[in-house]
Amino acid sequence: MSSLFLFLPIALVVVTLQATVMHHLSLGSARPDLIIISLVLWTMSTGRDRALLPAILMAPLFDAVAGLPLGVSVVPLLIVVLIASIGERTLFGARLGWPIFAAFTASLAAGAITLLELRLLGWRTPWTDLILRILVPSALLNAFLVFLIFIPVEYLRSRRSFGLG
Amino acid sequence: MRVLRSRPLILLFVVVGAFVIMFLDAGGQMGPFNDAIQRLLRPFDIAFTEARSDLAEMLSTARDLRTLRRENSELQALVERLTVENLELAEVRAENEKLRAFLAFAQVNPTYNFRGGQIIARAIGVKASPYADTLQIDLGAEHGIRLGMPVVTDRGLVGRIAEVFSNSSTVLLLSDPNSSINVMTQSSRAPGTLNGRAGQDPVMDFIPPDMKVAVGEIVITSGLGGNFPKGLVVGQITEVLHSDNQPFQRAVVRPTVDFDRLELVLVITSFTPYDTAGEPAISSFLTPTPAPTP
Repeated sequence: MSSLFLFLPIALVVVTLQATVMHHLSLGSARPDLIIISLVLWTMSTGRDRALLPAILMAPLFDAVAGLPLGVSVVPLLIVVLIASIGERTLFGARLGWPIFAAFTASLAAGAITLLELRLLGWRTPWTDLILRILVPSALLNAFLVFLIFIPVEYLRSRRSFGLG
Repeated sequence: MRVLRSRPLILLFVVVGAFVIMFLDAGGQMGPFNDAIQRLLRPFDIAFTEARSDLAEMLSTARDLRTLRRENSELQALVERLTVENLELAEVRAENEKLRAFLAFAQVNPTYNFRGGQIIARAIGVKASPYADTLQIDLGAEHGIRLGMPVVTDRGLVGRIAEVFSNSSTVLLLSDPNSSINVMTQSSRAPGTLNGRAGQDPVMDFIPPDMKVAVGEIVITSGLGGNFPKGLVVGQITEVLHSDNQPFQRAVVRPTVDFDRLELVLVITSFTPYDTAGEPAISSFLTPTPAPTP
């Protein structure tokens, strides 16, 4: 229960930032997804189990602000956590490579599942346009933002580990 | 967390529950829960809106001051004060102009009833998801907003109300792939259906092959179907798509409204549906964007 009280404000802030700020960072049709980015980084920092609750909490909040049917984002965000938690430092030796790859893959998977669910609910989902113009560019943008965020975070962590931070 | 780790069945329960909620919500059964979430997010939304606005003002002020300091350091303090005042006045003037434009819109269209509200959607859900072009406004069922009501600005049509909560609503933008609007070109009177597209400008479909449409023509709502008032400006044709194996013509339409810069919108709460027997009357409240020279 204490975790709920801790994560709920964080989830609210992340979702509100996604709704208020992130669309200003759009590049063409590519739209950044702070929720996926934060979940990928959170999973890598704390592990899968500690990232599941934020994912479950953020999903309905995000659905509400995004005009999506409630519950649509639950499975995609759980998939993001699962992808970010597998293969860390086994597929890639480098520390930076895996977060970028995970963010890209998780964004693709989450987007594809979201679209499948929306199709299931009767939404119009022009696959070619959505995949080529939205899904792939957005996944690339998310991966790039993870790259930008990961470097200073990693730098600060390394300084702290050496007792300099 | 320990519970989640030791009992993976709970995750299965969450997934199944998500699907149940999803279908219930699609059937309109989750209204109160959805409404509660909207109420929960509202204070955050307002706080972030104000914070973002303050930050933008601060950044703008800092930029101005840097320039002014270079030009005349002696007047720095005075310029700082004047800059801040100027920014505030500019904000007031911009809002005043928008409200005047809306007032003119309402006066020219006396048959419509309007509900105007400041968009909190910039804070809570402007295209928050890549897969839904929506925004949130701070008017809901308590303010008389109902499903399907058209949403406009002085520049033209924004979309329609797709979901209504007690004190907020979701607007489906005309750029969303799920948006479909009956339209026609202003000068050639060619009818068609404007369909949103993912990541691209909307396209006007089903234009009769015998009608001539040209780049630069203004596209307006036709009023057919009774969902939108007739004559609302929608956009401008930027490309005409001809294809030998298509029975109809198509045209790419650039919306006149910049959805990323929306601050205020009007919700048309009632209007007289288009009488198909009557002679069309194009609204003159908008200044159409000049056609580009070929």
